[in-house]
Amino acid sequence: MSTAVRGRPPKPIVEEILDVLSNVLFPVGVFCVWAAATTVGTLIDQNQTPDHYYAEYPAPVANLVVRLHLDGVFHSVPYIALVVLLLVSMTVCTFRRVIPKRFPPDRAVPIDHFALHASVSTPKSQDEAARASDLYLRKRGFIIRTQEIDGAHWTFAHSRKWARYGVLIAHLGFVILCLGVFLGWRYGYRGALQVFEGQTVAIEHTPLQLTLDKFTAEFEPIRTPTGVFYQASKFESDVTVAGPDDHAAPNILVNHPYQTSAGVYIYQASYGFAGRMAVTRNGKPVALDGAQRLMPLDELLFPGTSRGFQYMTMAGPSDPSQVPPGVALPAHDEYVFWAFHDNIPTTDKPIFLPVGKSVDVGDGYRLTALSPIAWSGLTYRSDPGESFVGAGVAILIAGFVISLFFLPVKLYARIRDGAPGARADVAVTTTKGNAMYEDEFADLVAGWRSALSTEMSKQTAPAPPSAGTVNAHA
Amino acid sequence: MPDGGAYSQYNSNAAAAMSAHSLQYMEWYLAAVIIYVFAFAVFVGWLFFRNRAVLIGGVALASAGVICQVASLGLRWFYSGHVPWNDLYGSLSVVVLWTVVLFLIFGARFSIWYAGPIVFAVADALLAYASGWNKGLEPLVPSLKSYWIVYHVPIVLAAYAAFLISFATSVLYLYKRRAELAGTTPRWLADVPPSSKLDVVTYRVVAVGEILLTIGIVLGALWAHDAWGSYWQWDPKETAALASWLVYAAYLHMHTRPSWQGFNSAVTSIVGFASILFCYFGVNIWISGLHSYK
Ligand code: HEM
Repeated sequence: MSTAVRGRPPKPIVEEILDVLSNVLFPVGVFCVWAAATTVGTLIDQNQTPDHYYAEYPAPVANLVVRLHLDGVFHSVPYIALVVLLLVSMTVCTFRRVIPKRFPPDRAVPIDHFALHASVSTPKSQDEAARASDLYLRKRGFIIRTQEIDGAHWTFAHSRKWARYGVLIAHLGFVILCLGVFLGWRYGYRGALQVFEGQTVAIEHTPLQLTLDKFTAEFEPIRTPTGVFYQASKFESDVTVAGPDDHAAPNILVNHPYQTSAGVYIYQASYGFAGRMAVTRNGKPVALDGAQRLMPLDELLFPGTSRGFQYMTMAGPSDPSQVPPGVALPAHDEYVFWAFHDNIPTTDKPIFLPVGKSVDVGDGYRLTALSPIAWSGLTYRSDPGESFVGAGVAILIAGFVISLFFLPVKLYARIRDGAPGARADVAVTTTKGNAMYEDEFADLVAGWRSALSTEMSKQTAPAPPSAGTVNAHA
Repeated sequence: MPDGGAYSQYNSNAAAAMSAHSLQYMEWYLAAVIIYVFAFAVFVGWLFFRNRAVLIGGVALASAGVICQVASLGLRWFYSGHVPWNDLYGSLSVVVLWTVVLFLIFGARFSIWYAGPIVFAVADALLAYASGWNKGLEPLVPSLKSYWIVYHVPIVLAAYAAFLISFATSVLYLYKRRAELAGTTPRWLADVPPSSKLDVVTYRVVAVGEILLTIGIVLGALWAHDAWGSYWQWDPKETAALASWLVYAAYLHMHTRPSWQGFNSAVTSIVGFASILFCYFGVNIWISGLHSYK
């Protein structure tokens, strides 16, 4: 025996890298970094302008956010790189550790070297004892093979061997999920539509046209300590979708999107009511661009004058959710706006103009409030990776259940002739260490002992041996 | 559409009825808060007196608390006409209910009764705290009007409950290990199983929690698909839940290495529970997003 301590020959660098990648502590580290980055992205509002951060945080923090691009964590290259790193490591690990990891072979093993082992002496003959032991193990769900080795009866048994595939399945699920996310990112599209009642718009990326036939909103009053406010309880767009392969008139509600024949989803996202005004000058109608669809802060100028008006909002029963808590809901819809002359408001307070009423705004111009027009905000989305994501998570969950709840077990039993009677030994190993199986092993051994003991055949109702008598070593 | 006058009429009647109904469900709720205090005391007793009567008493009190909570949530469901876990108050009640139910199940399965004091202390503190968030009965906002709320929310809350229990067993692990290393075990720890057993139990409970969390997140994604037009929005609640999921994924991988079982795993499980608290309270209360239901 040489006393010189000899260092192992250095491994090639590629081997070293593969070793690191296939070490379980590698994903542990990546998971932790990923979790930390995700928490940072949760704490810091994402996708805001730099001004927002300087207003929200102390200057050094805001500087940090802006310089390190912490305002867009989730779509940043380092963040996505973490997932890629996981996938690489998982692939390496699968080929180097998970697949080569075989169940221990069937061979005569030194039973007392196992952490989980037990022995019993029985007055039964070796044959009888072997039969009783095998029968019992089968009853406990083990699949067994037997062999005579050096005059001893060996039983090699396993239980839930199939569950070794759980890890592989969980990992495969994650890969498929990532593939789906990639496909959606690469080939999917999405967009938003704002459609007024009666209007038809084209849906970009598709050959489809969408018409908003009717929009309905319902509201519920909510009582709060500061007064009553109104909350939308339902909003619904009755639309017509037309294209080469589609002609349908679905109703789209929150939580009830519509799916076209090409798999494009259309969702209800938002809604509103635009103001409508008739404009006349000296009694004659004037066509003024935008006066039929007034959105908050829209400004219109009256031709031939330096006058104009700025539309603020609509208040009234058509959309009571716009009324602040504690303010009485007007009985009829009315428009709130400023009229101005040379950029100076002509009144101290905004003008409230109920639907159906008119007001003079100078130079012969007169505004008449017409009933408001509803608009619906719809989003559409196509995601060709969705089915992969769905399949991926289903497989991932299946893999989780298999690998976490089903423990593959390998068992060795040896029955020898013990001069009077027989001597039996049993040992067990699992894929997840021994502590996990200790309690079940104690239970298994208790049953195995009583199956082997002769009292068993004499007593009609054998008392199960108490856990204290079980000779299971951990 | 009714005019403003009809609205105010509806309001005053409804508000009166609502407050009467709130009182009813609050009574059951308070009964549960008090019963859990006694359950806590009895399980503290269980650490010192391992006799059957004490255990039966603790289990009976826990079960009585569960019944009161079910009655309270049921009444709230009945009077509001929608699931009672639409706000922080209701969902915290459900977390506590799940915690006690899972504690009884794990207790029967793995005899983790010794975790009772920590479980009831944390759970009852949460339940008492939740009453401060009770806003009475309110109608559901449109984005919550979906059958997904029936599955997604309780499953995520069950995951939180499982992690609360694994937090308790991890804390016990740390105490027990310290005692084992020091060689002197205080009386209250003497009958708690050895730390290697606590590690295994924690692993089993975390496994249940992580599977529930995965299923819960997936159901949430299916719901988001219906409601917001995308299964993943990088909304703060989603990202915080992802962070928790990742911490527990790290835990499960770590635990496959014998040398990282025990202490490292217990610490990770405690960090995981901190991330759950952040996901739950941090995001609901401090960070506004699509998900901040208070
Ligand atoms: C998000 C991605 C991943 C998921 C969902 C996942 C899931 C799982 C699950 C459920 C287990 C069983 C754990 C247990 O028995 O307690 C497991 C085990 C394992 N995973 Fe992963 N895993 C992921 C990523 C990775 C990566 C990137 C690696 C790369 C090295 C990896 C390597 C392993 C190994 C070596 C085992 C243990 C196999 C054994 O010895 O039993 N995993 N994984």
